[in-house]
Amino acid sequence: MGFAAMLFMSGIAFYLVMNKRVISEWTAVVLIGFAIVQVMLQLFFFMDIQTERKGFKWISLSGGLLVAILAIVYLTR
Amino acid sequence: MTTSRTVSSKQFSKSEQADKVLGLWFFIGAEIVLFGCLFGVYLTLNGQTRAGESPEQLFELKEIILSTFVLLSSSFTCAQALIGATQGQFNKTISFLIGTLLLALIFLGLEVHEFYSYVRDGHTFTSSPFMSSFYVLVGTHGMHVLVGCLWMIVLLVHLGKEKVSSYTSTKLEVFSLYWHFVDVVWVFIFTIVYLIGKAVVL
Repeated sequence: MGFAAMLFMSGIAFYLVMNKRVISEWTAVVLIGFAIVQVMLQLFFFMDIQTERKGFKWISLSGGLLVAILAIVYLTR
Repeated sequence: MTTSRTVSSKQFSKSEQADKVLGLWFFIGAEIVLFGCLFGVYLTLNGQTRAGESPEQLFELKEIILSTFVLLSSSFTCAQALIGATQGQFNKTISFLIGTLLLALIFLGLEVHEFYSYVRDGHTFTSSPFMSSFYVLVGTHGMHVLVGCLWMIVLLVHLGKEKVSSYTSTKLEVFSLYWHFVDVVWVFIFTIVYLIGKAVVL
């Protein structure tokens, strides 16, 4: 189910861009939203983030994301 | 005198299995930092292009969506291989792992073809800051796919020798996490570099 949902969302995002070459900021936000949902599907369905030692897994993930977001903000400011 | 084939004597306890998996989660944390920095560099430099070299002129989305479907499918086959290993089904594990390897090689082939077509048209690594950051970001991901392919070959050799055991299934579980992470990075590359790059955002 997770796999089918990921294919569907990638297909929809592709369709949106192929049909409307000029997109609004909101459409760009929707595209990024699709990406985030796909990542969540990967984390929960395939990577089993909620199984044993989940606290360490979330700390590792959120620690990496925090540094990554700080780096992106610093580089693009 | 008959010779019998030795089947795995190596086994991991539950605690050792959990440690191996957790080790890869820490590695994933570090990888997120690496790709975060590369995305930051790309987002900073993607406006600095030569004439005829902007993302909307360069990218062929039909090829990219094909690569995306191939890589997403490889995530599915990898998960099936792991399910096979946890159920002790040797044939299912091997066949889905070989399927994953083939899909990964197809993805790499498509990426090499994409890079080759850009270089052939004169869009090389040094032609603009945008191209440099693009090659570094997408190329680093491609290197991860290549490493994954080598890892799968090693796993196949292990499985051939040791069959399905707690030892080989833990190794497969660790690889599977790595592979899904590579897929996660591609989802962001597909969205941020290709889709939003191709579209004109008002």
